[in-house]
Amino acid sequence: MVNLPPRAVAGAKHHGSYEWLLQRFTAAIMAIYTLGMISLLMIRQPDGYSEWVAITDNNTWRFGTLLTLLSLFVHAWQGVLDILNDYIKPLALRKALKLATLLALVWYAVWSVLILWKL
Amino acid sequence: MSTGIAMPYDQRPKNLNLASIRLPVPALVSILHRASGALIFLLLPVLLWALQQSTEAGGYAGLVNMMDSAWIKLPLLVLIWAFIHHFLAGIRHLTLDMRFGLEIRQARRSSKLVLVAGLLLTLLTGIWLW
Repeated sequence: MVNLPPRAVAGAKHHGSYEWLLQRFTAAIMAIYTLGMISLLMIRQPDGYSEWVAITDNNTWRFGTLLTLLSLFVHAWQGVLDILNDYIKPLALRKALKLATLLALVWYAVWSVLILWKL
Repeated sequence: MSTGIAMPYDQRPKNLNLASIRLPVPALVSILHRASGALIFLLLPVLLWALQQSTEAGGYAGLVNMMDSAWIKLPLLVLIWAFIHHFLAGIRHLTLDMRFGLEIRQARRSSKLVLVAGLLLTLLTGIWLW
């Protein structure tokens, strides 16, 4: 391991190893879901609405999809933070964009539940 | 401790003329990883809307109809490329994390592989879909 000075970034509680791990963990969930879904679509070759419903109208698919979508939102949060930190210099603007991103992602999570369970 | 030539911070050479920077392939794959991620993030509401539409018979038919238009196909193909490139570049990242392919020749080769495979798989997906 590299020896970093304590609190290399002002205000940082740690060195980002938690974020690093979370980014990879969520990526793994999405990769497994993607490969599984592609295999399923290739095997079943759904043609038309009723065959699509046959694949999606069960709780295994709903929970798997929700887990993947939540992973996506967490993954996107880290990625967008990196981009904003790199390119947006004015502090107030950066903070506003971070807040907007967070609110959007939280809304997407709620919306996902509404979509999957048709609420 | 750095052994480089001591130089005041504000006198260090800068080269921010983007047109004059010749990007190595690994750097190209890296910036496209970021750009594709940003694109997918920005299109999330559209993707969620499409998922919602697909759960209703009428909405499903509407989506199928939309897919016939070239104005939808082309942007969709760009999005598919973004997804595949982000996926492959991410897998490459994981192998680098595990300290595989860190040598510059291997790193160059794997980045070329990601770039080419991403375009090829996008083409194949396009053929499969239409």
